[in-house]
Amino acid sequence: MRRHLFALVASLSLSGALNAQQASWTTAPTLPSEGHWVLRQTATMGRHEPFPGARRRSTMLSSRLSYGLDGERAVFIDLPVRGVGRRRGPSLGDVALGWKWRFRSENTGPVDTTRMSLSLGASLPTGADRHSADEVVPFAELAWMNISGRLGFGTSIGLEGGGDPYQRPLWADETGEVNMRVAAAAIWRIDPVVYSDSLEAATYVCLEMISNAEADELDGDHELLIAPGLLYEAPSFAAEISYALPLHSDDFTSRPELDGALLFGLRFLW
Amino acid sequence: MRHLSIQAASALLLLLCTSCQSNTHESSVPMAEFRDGQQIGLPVFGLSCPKCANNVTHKLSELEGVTSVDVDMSQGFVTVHAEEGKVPTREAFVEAVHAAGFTVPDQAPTATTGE
Repeated sequence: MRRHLFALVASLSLSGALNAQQASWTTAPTLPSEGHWVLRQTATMGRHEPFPGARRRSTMLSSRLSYGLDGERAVFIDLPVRGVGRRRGPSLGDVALGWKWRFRSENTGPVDTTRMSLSLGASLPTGADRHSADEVVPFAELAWMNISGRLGFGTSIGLEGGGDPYQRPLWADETGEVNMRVAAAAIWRIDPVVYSDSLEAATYVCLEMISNAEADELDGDHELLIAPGLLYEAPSFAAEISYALPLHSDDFTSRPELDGALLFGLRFLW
Repeated sequence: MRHLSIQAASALLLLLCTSCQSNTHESSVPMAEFRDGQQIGLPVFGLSCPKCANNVTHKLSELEGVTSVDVDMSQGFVTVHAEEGKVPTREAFVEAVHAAGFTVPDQAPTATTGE
């Protein structure tokens, strides 16, 4: 409980000064409009420490395809490819299907908005033996964001994971334990300072905090990461880069500690 | 390495906080609506990013007769150009904006000409 509280306080400590948007690690309550698609593709390269002095690297490719049902609801499918770069080669992980409902949307100015969403879904045991939970695993996530002028703040709280542990778990959702993920993001639009009278690209600097903690054990794995990043957003696509570093980690028994993770991403809207 | 990351994060946080002091907002006073024989213009709120704003363009472009859509992000104002006599109604405009996840603020139209 103390760890969850610590993570929540640390994440929310950013909100006192700042207000966020669509960051890399923090889920945002954003959706494609009715009848339209958004594809987000990310490559996450992690460096892990199985024991002091040792290093293990991992690469995960992930694609999320979302389809807008109406202005406030969307469905999505996640297609992860795990084990990229390993000797045994990459394979499809557990495909997830989900539904996202933006139940609050309050637009108070040209760019100012406050939104909240709920995502529900389940991952299916489609992965290869070493990259699968081997059963249907439900997940749920709440997301909130507020954008005011150039600044935005967002936070998301979700439960994920469960099922059987992966053969060599590296990430929080691979250990077989239920993971509580709390993330918070602050985003500052660095260019343009003021939007012009046309549709133009924008560049943002992001700072995120991510907490992963086993939800069903008080003394389970826990990590707190900080992730600075950059986001470039054009009208029909966006590019992102972010690097997550551990601020704090303890009680790691079910997977190696994360030493750092670099994320590249592209999003397309059509 | 961790100390370095904490210091870098603190510096970034400080920079973000400093930026709050000189935060420049887009106009929050809605521009007046208008409608004539070839176009209709309404304020739209919540256009928080270019990709979000493009959602509005996509939805309004699907309306019958629409030839182009201009989004003024600085004022939060969207103008739809259409073929003569096929300018979308205000209701159709508002419905399309809502389907894209945004809001047309309530206001009395101050300039209505043509149809």
